Amino acid sequence: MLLALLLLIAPPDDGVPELVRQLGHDDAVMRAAAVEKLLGRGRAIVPELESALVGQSDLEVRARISMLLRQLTQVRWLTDVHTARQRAAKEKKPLLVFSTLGPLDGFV
Amino acid sequence: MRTVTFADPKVVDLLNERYVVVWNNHSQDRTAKGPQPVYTREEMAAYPEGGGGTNLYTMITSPDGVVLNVLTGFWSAGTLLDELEFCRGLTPENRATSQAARRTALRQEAAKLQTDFPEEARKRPKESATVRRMAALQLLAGCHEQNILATVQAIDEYLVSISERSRARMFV
Repeated sequence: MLLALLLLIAPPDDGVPELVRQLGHDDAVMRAAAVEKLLGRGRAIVPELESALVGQSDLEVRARISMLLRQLTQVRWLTDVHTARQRAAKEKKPLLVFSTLGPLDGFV
Repeated sequence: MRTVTFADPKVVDLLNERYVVVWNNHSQDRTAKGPQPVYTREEMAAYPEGGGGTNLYTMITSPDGVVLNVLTGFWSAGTLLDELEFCRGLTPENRATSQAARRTALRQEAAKLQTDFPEEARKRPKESATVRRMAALQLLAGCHEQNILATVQAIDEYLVSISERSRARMFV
């Protein structure tokens, strides 16, 4: 009884392996929450995510881990200035605009 | 810049955490699709800072979109991080004074290199990292000179002016 109570009041296990497991959860809200929590951990969890990717057979989870790895190791570019301005104003963050002769996916 | 400066882990983390970042194509009629040249790591490392001129603009604005700092050309991760540090605390009100101080500091740094390494300073840029650094500092100071002279603008207006200048250059 006491053990059951402790399990109920114990904080959820938010370790990386558990969050990776939740990337394959049936509930889309749980999956999205896991993505946000993993993103919040920053670059430090990249090695763990890379290891998780190696052992992962679920294609959807693999895709989500790959997406997370990209987001954690690459600049999260927006490509629409209007959207970026709105986000900068909302989040009260400065805006960095890089402008050149071509689109993001057209340059090395 | 995308695969060198903007791929540097420190730059990536700083931009993702503290900035909203947007890529703008100021030449919509050039899509640059198709095969791209492939550069070796050595070729990319040898690209001079400040090179590329007005083909490349890196602009920092306040959260409400007022342009505070503009760099033209290619800049290394280290230089970009220094510039982002400079931009902290930059406002439309203190912009002119801060830009002038930054320009002076960069020129003093270049002059000090010349004084400290007179033998190096006589070499050609491709023979000396010191000379390349001096040139980069002067070019960077030039960016700040332009920033002092420029009137404070909203980013949308600034991007229109870049696009127009780019188009004008194509037909010269």
